[in-house]
Amino acid sequence: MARSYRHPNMTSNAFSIEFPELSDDHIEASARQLLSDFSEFSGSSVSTPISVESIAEHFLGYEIEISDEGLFADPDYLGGIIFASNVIQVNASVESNEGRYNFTIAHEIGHHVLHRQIYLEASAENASNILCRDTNDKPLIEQQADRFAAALLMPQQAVSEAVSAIPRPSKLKTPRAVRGYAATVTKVGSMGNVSNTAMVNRLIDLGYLSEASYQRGTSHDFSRRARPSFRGTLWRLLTRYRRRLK
Amino acid sequence: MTNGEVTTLADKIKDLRAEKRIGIRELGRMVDVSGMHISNLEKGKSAPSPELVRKLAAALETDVDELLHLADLVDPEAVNVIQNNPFAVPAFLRSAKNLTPEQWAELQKQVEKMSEESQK
Repeated sequence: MARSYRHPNMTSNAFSIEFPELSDDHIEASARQLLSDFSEFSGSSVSTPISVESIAEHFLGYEIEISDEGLFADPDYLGGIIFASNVIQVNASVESNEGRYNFTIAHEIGHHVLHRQIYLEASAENASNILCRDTNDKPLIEQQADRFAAALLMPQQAVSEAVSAIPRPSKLKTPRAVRGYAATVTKVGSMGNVSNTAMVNRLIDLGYLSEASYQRGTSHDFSRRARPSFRGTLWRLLTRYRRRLK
Repeated sequence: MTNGEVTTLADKIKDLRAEKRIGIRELGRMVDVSGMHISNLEKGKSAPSPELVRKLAAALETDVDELLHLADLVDPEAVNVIQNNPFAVPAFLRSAKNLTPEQWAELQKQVEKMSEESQK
């Protein structure tokens, strides 16, 4: 099933493109393939931490622009990609945040791998428009690019090996315990270029952590602070909380 | 990576980064400035200080004089020599203005020899 996506460009000629849904397996395989191709290009095996800056600039031929001007005066716009001129833009506000900087570039690489072809074919006359990563909106292709970014920065095999190398705590029922476990996986797996939240989400996505236990713990935090009156409100609060942490 | 003669500092930095596979923020960290500063240099939106050019030359393992020339800067060390010899250096440069590159090279050898002898 395809979904229509009206991208948040800055010009008045916004247009809709049909982007297909992609399975997680497809996205994971795409990230693995890119790492394999990059390894061949580099002439050596690629290991964590994954240098997404090098993949973007030296392998894919993108120019990275770090800016605080124009659209990027708004810190909610984390990054963007301009396919027509091979430019990846990153908001200067994330530059000093190791996790956010790398995730933003990895996310834009995700757009290159997963969406570039469709985008250019569908929008030959609008190719100078920018696909943007912002903190508030998560349409389908943004979710796909996020999943790709996670798979690129935290390769399944690297996470799996790190998880196997450390004893699993018997209780992971509070957000604090979950974050501590994720920090250990990050350290053991040499993935210091990702945020703790990104690793928590990755461990959930790969089935190493129960989303329910994390949410239960996080919900508890919120229930004490916000006292939501019904489950729907709680879920929205939780989602917003996780986005802010990303 | 380089196609023809590089005529701007921005292109020279970009080319050297590509050749040595140094990331934009990575270079910023090597020379103690932000990645945005490097980004602006590469877009020709800002001009570097002589000190930054020295650091860039060291990080990119290239000739500092070439980078200074591309940046339209004069090495502060050379400026010091002129300021410390306000009459001799300008007079010397005026008399040498028509020398060929080969004669400049020969002259530099002579000066280096004189410098070595004066340090003995």
